[in-house]
Amino acid sequence: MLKKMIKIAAISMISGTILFGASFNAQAEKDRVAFVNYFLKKFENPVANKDKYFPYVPLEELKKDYIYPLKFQDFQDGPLSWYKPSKEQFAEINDFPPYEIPLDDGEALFNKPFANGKTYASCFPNPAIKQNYPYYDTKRDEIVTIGMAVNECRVKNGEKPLKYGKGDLAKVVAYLAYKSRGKKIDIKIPNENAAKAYEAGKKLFYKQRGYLAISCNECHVKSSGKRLRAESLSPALGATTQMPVYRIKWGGLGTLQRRLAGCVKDTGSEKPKMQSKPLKELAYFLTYMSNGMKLFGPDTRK
Amino acid sequence: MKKLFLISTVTIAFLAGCASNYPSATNSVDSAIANAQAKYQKAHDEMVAWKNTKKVLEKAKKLAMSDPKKAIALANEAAYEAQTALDQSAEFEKTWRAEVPK
Repeated sequence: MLKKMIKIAAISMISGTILFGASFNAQAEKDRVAFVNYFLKKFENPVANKDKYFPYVPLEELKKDYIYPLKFQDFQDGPLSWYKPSKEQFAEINDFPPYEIPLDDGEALFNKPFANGKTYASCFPNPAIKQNYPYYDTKRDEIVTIGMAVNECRVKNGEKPLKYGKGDLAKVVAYLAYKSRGKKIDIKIPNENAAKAYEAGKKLFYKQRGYLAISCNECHVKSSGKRLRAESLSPALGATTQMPVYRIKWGGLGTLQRRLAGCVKDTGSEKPKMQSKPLKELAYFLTYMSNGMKLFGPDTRK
Repeated sequence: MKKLFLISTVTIAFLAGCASNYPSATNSVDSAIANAQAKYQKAHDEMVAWKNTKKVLEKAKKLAMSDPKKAIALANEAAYEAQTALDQSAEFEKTWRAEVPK
């Protein structure tokens, strides 16, 4: 009888944990599925869906320059996924990718011993880890980004942390991204606080801000697949797969947070600080939206 | 003599007026800057401040002594921007959920 009771209690606890655990990402998963479906529908047939999604794009341009139908993984190419001229242009640029030299630098930095003789490999024995970042650390009760992990490794080994967003940090992250190519993004929401962080990131993404009163959503969901002057607006789906990117505008590599901070500033808002809570929450939300997509970083962008 | 008394009285009254005006001008610069600073800080803490507000406010602080009139105008501009950012944020707080794809 006692054995039976213990068995029932154990089963209840396990199933309770599973159900409770699953509920933390229930809303996020619902959001993600709707998010993915929006993009799949939008880019299924832009010519047939012109009135609904592309009312101001000339029909000839839709027929001639748009690539469709797009499948889930196609969105890894960001603004290049749907626009033939950009895709061709960047295919040529990537014959000799501008990120190659900083990527080699990143590999050299990864393998260069610290003053104590250890290397980054002491923290990242398997460098193919980017698919799990950013993650919610339940013990620390905060989001940990890959940049933070790199700097924490340095501090642990007696080195000074690197400046976030660009430079050597972006190079090391580029190397980790390169080693993670082909891995599927796998962001988890392990507890209630993680779910709150996800919701905060979601709000930052959808809520209009700045003196232009626009949101990330305005450009990268609703207007994705349209042009803003000579630029093609990238879909938010898959936006984090190519990070860090070598931007021709920057003349170097930049991390996801650098790009996001720039985007927030473009709305006419104050630029958030690297590794600030809101910026990490935005990255957490956005990366979750691309769960299941294969990584392809680093890459080149305008 | 009467004329001299009148002139003296008017002069004293004028100087007294100036003297009493000077601190009130300082007060209005200080209060304009303090008001702008408080509004900006609130907008900044809520992460909704506009990108130029801080610059305008800093400029107002720099000019507080040398050009109080301009400093007040700049502080008021910063306060207006910060308040608009806060109002805008409160308004979009009601509507952003409708933007999430369903």
